[in-house]
Amino acid sequence: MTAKDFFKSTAFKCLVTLLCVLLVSGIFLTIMHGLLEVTDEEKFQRVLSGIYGKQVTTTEQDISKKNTNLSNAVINNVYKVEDDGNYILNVSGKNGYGGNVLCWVVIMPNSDGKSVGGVGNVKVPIADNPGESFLNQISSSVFDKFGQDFKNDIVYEYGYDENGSNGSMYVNTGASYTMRGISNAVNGAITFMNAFLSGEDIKEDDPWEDFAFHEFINMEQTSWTKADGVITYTVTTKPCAPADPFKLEIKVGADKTITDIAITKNGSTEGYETDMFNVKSLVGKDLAYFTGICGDDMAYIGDYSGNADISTGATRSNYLCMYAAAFAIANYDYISNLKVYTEYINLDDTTAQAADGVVTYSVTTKAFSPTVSFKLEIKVGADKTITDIAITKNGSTEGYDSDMFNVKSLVGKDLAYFTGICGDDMAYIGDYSGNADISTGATRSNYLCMYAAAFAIANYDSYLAQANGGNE
Amino acid sequence: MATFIAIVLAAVLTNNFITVKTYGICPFLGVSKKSSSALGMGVAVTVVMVLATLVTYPIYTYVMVPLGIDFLEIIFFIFIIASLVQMLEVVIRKISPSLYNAMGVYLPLITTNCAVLGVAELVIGDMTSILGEGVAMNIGWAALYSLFAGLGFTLVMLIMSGMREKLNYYKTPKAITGFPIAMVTACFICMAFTVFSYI
Amino acid sequence: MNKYKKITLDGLIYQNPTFMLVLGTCPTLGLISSAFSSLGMGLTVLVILTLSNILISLLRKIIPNEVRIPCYIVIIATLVTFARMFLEKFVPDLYESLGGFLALIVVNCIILGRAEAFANKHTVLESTVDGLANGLGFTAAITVMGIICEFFGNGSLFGFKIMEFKMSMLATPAGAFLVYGICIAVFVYIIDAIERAKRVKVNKLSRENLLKEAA
Repeated sequence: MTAKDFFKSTAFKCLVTLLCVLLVSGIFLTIMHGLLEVTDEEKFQRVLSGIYGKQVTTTEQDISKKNTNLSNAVINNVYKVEDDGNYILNVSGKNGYGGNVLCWVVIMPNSDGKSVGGVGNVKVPIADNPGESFLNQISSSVFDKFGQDFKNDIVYEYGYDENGSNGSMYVNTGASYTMRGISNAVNGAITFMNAFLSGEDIKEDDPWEDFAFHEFINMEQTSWTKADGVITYTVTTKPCAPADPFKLEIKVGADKTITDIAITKNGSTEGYETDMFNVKSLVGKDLAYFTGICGDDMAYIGDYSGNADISTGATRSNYLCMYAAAFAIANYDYISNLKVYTEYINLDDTTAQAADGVVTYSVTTKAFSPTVSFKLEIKVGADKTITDIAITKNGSTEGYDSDMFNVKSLVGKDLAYFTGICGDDMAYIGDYSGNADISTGATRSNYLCMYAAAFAIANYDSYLAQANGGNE
Repeated sequence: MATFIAIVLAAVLTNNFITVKTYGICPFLGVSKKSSSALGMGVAVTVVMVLATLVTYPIYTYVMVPLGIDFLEIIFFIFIIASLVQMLEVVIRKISPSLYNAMGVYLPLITTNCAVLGVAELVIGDMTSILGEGVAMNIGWAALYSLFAGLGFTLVMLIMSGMREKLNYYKTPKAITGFPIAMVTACFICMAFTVFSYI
Repeated sequence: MNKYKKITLDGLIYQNPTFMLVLGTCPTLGLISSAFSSLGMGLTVLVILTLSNILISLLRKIIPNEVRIPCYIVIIATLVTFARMFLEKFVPDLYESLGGFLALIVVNCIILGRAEAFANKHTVLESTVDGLANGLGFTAAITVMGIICEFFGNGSLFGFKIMEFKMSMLATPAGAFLVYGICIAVFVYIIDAIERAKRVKVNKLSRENLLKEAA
């Protein structure tokens, strides 16, 4: 058909109509989209309003310059509610069941605005916490308790206390570890906001404060072993920008000098490794050498141009290595006396006497819910084995004491036996079903006894030295 | 492999389109009187669902979202589905007239079937609860999901038609003949399927 | 009978889309466990249905017969998209509770059905009334069922907890089917009874008239 016919045919009319309708629709919707769009910002405000309980507008606070990584929690964001001056915090509490627990905490400042006056809603979104599988066991009334029980500087407890009784606030939720993570988050939020509102720095307890020269050492990734008077350290330093952290193996002998030192991971800025000094040159040096260069506080003074030993072109790298060496030497005595395997031992209530090479302990363990603390008498001989062991106070949960193993079976065992079952760190792994010695139905009771025995053997040298070195 | 099984189980059992999500109800009630028609409808719906997902998912993910016109999805999707159905009808009529006679009459009805648009909308949304952590949605999983959703739909259709055929042999009071008794039957089928939600 | 009255009664009762024609069942069953969602869905469908009827009736002389279905679908899809944007911005609670069923309104048999069966043959005013009537019929039906399911299945009403006793089964799809089936049965029975009563009355009247004439 001709072109003219085509323009008159129904097919053409259909096409045109359809296109017109589509066009009009498209334009209409695009206009509407521009007018009615809900931006991500708005969606986020809605989320915050949902947490707060009513419609509010918030502004994010700048916390980039503050210390947000606390020992019990990491502060992610702080939002100030413009309507009434409260704050909504997004906090990750540490040590939950499956890692960190992401929580939203509402903090209400005091009337003077300089400290925390109260805690509001605490919400833990399930969607953001896939590792907290027991989260739904915690009823909403428990969350309300945070606000109801708030006192200044409160530290929210969780779980059982020493006597196994309901001494703390949030027992029996059925999700103890998750509750620990959430409590850590709320505590962290309160600590942080107290500092934030008052303008001061956060005063945190330094768990490593007994160690000398630890400011540039990553204590969590540093470990040591003791053998025959020589302490072998595996040190990880902190960074000294632009240098990255260093890892070193350092041996310190009883004369408090470096007997060996080696870099296992070089954190130098790229290209500077060859500029470093030869770290072996530090062998034989004592603490005085290092403090002579860097001062008694081993601080980084920046300009070491006067000292050829350190100022080789890779000053910061050298500094970190020297710092690690100073740390190793300075803590030799302290670490020598440090007890190992103390996590489940109540050191204040534990005594040891040495006589004729035999150390007799009276050990009190900590509670390990639902089991409460055990008291044992343990004798360790010079061959570092258990020569005698007896339970003086059985902390088993009621009815389980008969399920325990016969503790006398531990006589004659050495440390390798215990670490063979529980690992070198004697940590509680929960599932001991493979090991008949411990898994008798009263696993935690057995574990505490074994832990006490390992503690006794491992610290034999230390207690012997203490006793022979006179009273402290 | 785990994702494969998760999707199959979800699509057919725990998130079954008829008994759990109540999506493809119109044909479910209308066409399930005889087993043969139920089967035909089920197969036709499955085919359309897979084709629709194969076309709509890439267009949405790779064309509409980058261009920022994702708010036009409803129009685009329904247009694509309607065109697909139209083309399918023409193709089937050409290729196999007998097949067309068997099931071609249902094809126009499928355009307005909630299940087809439903599955297209579903796969562009948040599927992490079914896929699990760390598995990204891609066209393969989408097509798989729609395939098994369709099969689940067919399964329930067949169950329903079987039961309704049996019901024809019994006299029921006038008030509940037809739809009401069908509903009650469907109720029991749903209850049976809730067993699977414990997986 | 006044034609508007007829249209209204048809849409509301005698041709009630949910109970008599069993159309648009997907959102009905899907949202039945919450009275709030049911009511919201009903009102949304009411608005969209009325607007779609008006538009299609306005355009009925312009759109050629061959492309009418695609055009209707595009118009309805536009309205649904607009409704979705509107709800997301201004009534986010309803938007959340409707979920995927909001998008599925575009394939709701009621809207397309009324457009095809009524709006393209009648005037704008008639189409408006028809849309309103059918929409109200639908809304009333699913809201009633939603109230029943939520009350007996969850002990609450529109989100407010009223009683502790609940039969959880009613909150599941199984219960939805059951309630729907029972409601259809009851409704049809009542309508039948009314119709029968009317017929009896008409018969009685005509018999009386016959007798009068004979006399």
